[in-house]
Amino acid sequence: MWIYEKRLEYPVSITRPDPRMAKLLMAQYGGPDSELAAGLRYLTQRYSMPDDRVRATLTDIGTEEMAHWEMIAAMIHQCMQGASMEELTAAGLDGSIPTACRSPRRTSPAPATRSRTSSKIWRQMLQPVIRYRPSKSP
Amino acid sequence: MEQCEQALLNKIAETRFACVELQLYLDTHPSDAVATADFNCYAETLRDLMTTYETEYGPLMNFGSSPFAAGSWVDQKWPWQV
Repeated sequence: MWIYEKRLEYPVSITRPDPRMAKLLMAQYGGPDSELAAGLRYLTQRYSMPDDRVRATLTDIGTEEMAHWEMIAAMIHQCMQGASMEELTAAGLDGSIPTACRSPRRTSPAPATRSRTSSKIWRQMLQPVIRYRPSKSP
Repeated sequence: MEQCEQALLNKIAETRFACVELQLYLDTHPSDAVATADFNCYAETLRDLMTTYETEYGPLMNFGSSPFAAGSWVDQKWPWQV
Protein backbone atom coordinates (compact mmCIF):
# COMPACT_ATOMS: atom_id res chain seq x y z
CA MET A 1 0.00 0.00 0.00
CA TRP A 2 1.22 3.46 -0.84
CA ILE A 3 -0.18 6.85 0.11
CA TYR A 4 0.33 9.95 -2.01
CA GLU A 5 1.69 13.13 -0.50
CA LYS A 6 0.63 16.17 -2.49
CA ARG A 7 4.05 17.77 -2.51
CA LEU A 8 7.32 17.31 -4.38
CA GLU A 9 10.25 15.93 -2.42
CA TYR A 10 12.14 19.03 -3.52
CA PRO A 11 10.38 21.96 -5.20
CA VAL A 12 10.70 22.25 -8.99
CA SER A 13 10.19 25.67 -10.52
CA ILE A 14 11.16 26.03 -14.17
CA THR A 15 9.65 29.13 -15.71
CA ARG A 16 11.28 29.18 -19.17
CA PRO A 17 10.40 26.52 -21.77
CA ASP A 18 13.28 24.21 -22.72
CA PRO A 19 11.92 21.35 -24.89
CA ARG A 20 15.39 20.02 -25.60
CA MET A 21 16.01 19.50 -21.89
CA ALA A 22 12.54 17.92 -21.61
CA LYS A 23 13.53 15.44 -24.30
CA LEU A 24 16.81 14.62 -22.54
CA LEU A 25 14.97 14.06 -19.25
CA MET A 26 12.73 11.42 -20.82
CA ALA A 27 15.48 8.82 -20.29
CA GLN A 28 15.46 9.59 -16.58
CA TYR A 29 11.68 9.31 -16.54
CA GLY A 30 11.11 6.04 -18.37
CA GLY A 31 14.41 4.70 -19.67
CA PRO A 32 16.16 1.52 -18.52
CA ASP A 33 18.19 3.47 -15.95
CA SER A 34 15.35 5.79 -15.01
CA GLU A 35 14.08 6.61 -11.54
CA LEU A 36 11.05 4.46 -12.35
CA ALA A 37 13.14 1.46 -13.41
CA ALA A 38 15.32 1.79 -10.30
CA GLY A 39 12.28 2.04 -8.05
CA LEU A 40 10.60 -1.00 -9.56
CA ARG A 41 13.83 -2.99 -9.30
CA TYR A 42 14.28 -2.20 -5.60
CA LEU A 43 10.66 -2.95 -4.83
CA THR A 44 10.83 -6.25 -6.71
CA GLN A 45 14.15 -7.34 -5.21
CA ARG A 46 12.55 -7.14 -1.75
CA TYR A 47 10.77 -10.46 -2.13
CA SER A 48 13.87 -12.58 -2.51
CA MET A 49 16.05 -10.56 -0.17
CA PRO A 50 17.12 -12.82 2.73
CA ASP A 51 18.54 -10.03 4.93
CA ASP A 52 16.03 -8.19 7.18
CA ARG A 53 17.88 -4.90 7.10
CA VAL A 54 18.30 -4.89 3.34
CA ARG A 55 14.63 -5.84 2.86
CA ALA A 56 13.70 -2.74 4.84
CA THR A 57 16.21 -0.64 2.89
CA LEU A 58 14.88 -1.85 -0.47
CA THR A 59 11.34 -0.95 0.59
CA ASP A 60 12.31 2.55 1.67
CA ILE A 61 14.66 3.44 -1.19
CA GLY A 62 12.20 1.96 -3.69
CA THR A 63 9.52 4.20 -2.25
CA GLU A 64 11.79 7.22 -2.37
CA GLU A 65 12.61 6.56 -6.05
CA MET A 66 8.95 7.23 -6.82
CA ALA A 67 9.38 10.69 -5.31
CA HIS A 68 12.42 11.24 -7.56
CA TRP A 69 10.40 10.00 -10.52
CA GLU A 70 7.70 12.57 -9.77
CA MET A 71 10.28 15.37 -9.68
CA ILE A 72 11.58 14.34 -13.13
CA ALA A 73 7.98 14.39 -14.40
CA ALA A 74 7.49 17.88 -12.98
CA MET A 75 10.72 19.02 -14.69
CA ILE A 76 9.65 17.60 -18.06
CA HIS A 77 6.18 19.11 -17.72
CA GLN A 78 7.52 22.55 -16.86
CA CYS A 79 10.22 22.43 -19.57
CA MET A 80 7.45 21.88 -22.15
CA GLN A 81 5.05 24.43 -20.69
CA GLY A 82 4.66 27.44 -22.99
CA ALA A 83 6.75 26.00 -25.84
CA SER A 84 5.30 26.36 -29.34
CA MET A 85 4.35 23.33 -31.44
CA GLU A 86 7.33 24.16 -33.72
CA GLU A 87 9.74 24.14 -30.78
CA LEU A 88 8.30 20.85 -29.51
CA THR A 89 8.60 19.28 -32.98
CA ALA A 90 12.18 20.53 -33.35
CA ALA A 91 13.06 18.89 -30.03
CA GLY A 92 11.49 15.62 -31.17
CA LEU A 93 8.58 15.84 -28.76
CA ASP A 94 5.70 15.82 -31.26
CA GLY A 95 5.19 12.07 -30.99
CA SER A 96 6.38 11.32 -34.53
CA ILE A 97 8.38 8.18 -35.19
CA PRO A 98 12.14 8.66 -35.13
CA THR A 99 13.70 8.12 -38.57
CA ALA A 100 15.71 5.17 -37.30
CA CYS A 101 12.51 3.26 -36.53
CA ARG A 102 10.41 4.40 -39.46
CA SER A 103 11.28 1.83 -42.09
CA PRO A 104 13.90 -0.67 -41.03
CA ARG A 105 13.62 -2.50 -44.37
CA ARG A 106 14.96 0.47 -46.29
CA THR A 107 17.89 1.14 -43.98
CA SER A 108 21.28 -0.51 -44.36
CA PRO A 109 21.39 -4.25 -43.67
CA ALA A 110 21.48 -5.40 -40.08
CA PRO A 111 24.98 -5.83 -38.64
CA ALA A 112 26.48 -9.26 -39.26
CA THR A 113 26.45 -10.03 -35.54
CA ARG A 114 22.67 -9.97 -35.45
CA SER A 115 21.22 -13.36 -36.33
CA ARG A 116 18.27 -13.74 -38.68
CA THR A 117 16.07 -14.77 -35.81
CA SER A 118 16.87 -11.76 -33.71
CA SER A 119 16.33 -9.38 -36.61
CA LYS A 120 13.00 -11.08 -37.28
CA ILE A 121 11.97 -10.57 -33.66
CA TRP A 122 13.14 -6.99 -33.88
CA ARG A 123 10.97 -6.43 -36.97
CA GLN A 124 7.98 -8.08 -35.31
CA MET A 125 8.41 -5.85 -32.30
CA LEU A 126 8.50 -2.82 -34.57
CA GLN A 127 5.43 -3.85 -36.57
CA PRO A 128 2.89 -1.76 -34.65
CA VAL A 129 5.24 1.20 -34.90
CA ILE A 130 5.82 0.73 -38.62
CA ARG A 131 2.11 0.46 -39.36
CA TYR A 132 1.34 3.60 -37.42
CA ARG A 133 1.30 6.73 -39.56
CA PRO A 134 0.35 9.95 -37.84
CA SER A 135 -2.29 11.79 -39.86
CA LYS A 136 -1.11 15.06 -41.35
CA SER A 137 -2.21 18.07 -39.35
CA PRO A 138 -4.84 20.13 -41.17
CA MET B 1 1.28 30.30 -4.12
CA GLU B 2 1.67 32.77 -1.31
CA GLN B 3 5.00 33.15 0.48
CA CYS B 4 3.81 31.76 3.82
CA GLU B 5 2.51 28.59 2.17
CA GLN B 6 5.76 28.06 0.27
CA ALA B 7 7.82 28.67 3.41
CA LEU B 8 5.76 26.11 5.31
CA LEU B 9 6.09 23.59 2.46
CA ASN B 10 9.86 24.12 2.45
CA LYS B 11 9.97 23.48 6.20
CA ILE B 12 7.95 20.29 5.67
CA ALA B 13 10.33 19.23 2.87
CA GLU B 14 13.36 19.79 5.11
CA THR B 15 11.87 17.84 8.00
CA ARG B 16 10.68 15.03 5.76
CA PHE B 17 14.17 14.85 4.25
CA ALA B 18 15.67 14.39 7.71
CA CYS B 19 13.10 11.64 8.41
CA VAL B 20 13.85 9.85 5.13
CA GLU B 21 17.60 9.89 5.70
CA LEU B 22 17.30 8.79 9.33
CA GLN B 23 14.92 6.02 8.33
CA LEU B 24 17.37 4.76 5.71
CA TYR B 25 20.15 4.82 8.31
CA LEU B 26 17.96 2.98 10.81
CA ASP B 27 17.16 0.32 8.21
CA THR B 28 20.76 -0.83 8.41
CA HIS B 29 21.39 0.26 12.05
CA PRO B 30 18.10 -0.70 13.74
CA SER B 31 19.51 -0.68 17.27
CA ASP B 32 21.04 2.80 17.20
CA ALA B 33 19.24 4.52 20.10
CA VAL B 34 20.52 8.03 19.34
CA ALA B 35 19.38 7.86 15.71
CA THR B 36 16.01 6.46 16.83
CA ALA B 37 15.57 9.38 19.23
CA ASP B 38 16.50 11.82 16.43
CA PHE B 39 14.06 10.13 14.09
CA ASN B 40 11.20 10.33 16.58
CA CYS B 41 11.95 13.97 17.25
CA TYR B 42 11.89 14.88 13.54
CA ALA B 43 8.80 12.73 12.99
CA GLU B 44 6.93 14.66 15.70
CA THR B 45 8.02 17.99 14.21
CA LEU B 46 6.87 16.77 10.81
CA ARG B 47 3.44 15.80 12.14
CA ASP B 48 3.04 19.25 13.73
CA LEU B 49 4.11 21.05 10.56
CA MET B 50 1.77 18.98 8.40
CA THR B 51 -1.15 19.59 10.77
CA THR B 52 -0.44 23.32 10.65
CA TYR B 53 -0.32 23.24 6.85
CA GLU B 54 -3.45 21.14 6.48
CA THR B 55 -5.46 23.32 8.85
CA GLU B 56 -4.52 26.38 6.83
CA TYR B 57 -4.37 25.17 3.21
CA GLY B 58 -5.95 21.71 2.84
CA PRO B 59 -5.05 18.04 2.82
CA LEU B 60 -1.51 16.93 1.94
CA MET B 61 -2.23 13.21 1.86
CA ASN B 62 -4.99 11.03 0.44
CA PHE B 63 -6.85 7.90 1.52
CA GLY B 64 -7.57 9.03 5.07
CA SER B 65 -4.11 10.14 6.16
CA SER B 66 -5.14 13.81 6.21
CA PRO B 67 -8.31 15.51 7.43
CA PHE B 68 -10.45 16.24 4.40
CA ALA B 69 -12.72 19.15 3.60
CA ALA B 70 -15.08 18.67 0.67
CA GLY B 71 -13.50 19.59 -2.66
CA SER B 72 -10.17 20.73 -1.29
CA TRP B 73 -8.17 17.76 -2.63
CA VAL B 74 -9.56 18.40 -6.10
CA ASP B 75 -9.35 22.20 -6.08
CA GLN B 76 -5.89 22.56 -4.60
CA LYS B 77 -3.00 23.02 -7.01
CA TRP B 78 -0.91 19.96 -7.85
CA PRO B 79 2.78 20.03 -6.97
CA TRP B 80 3.97 20.21 -10.58
CA GLN B 81 1.86 23.30 -11.29
CA VAL B 82 3.87 26.45 -10.76
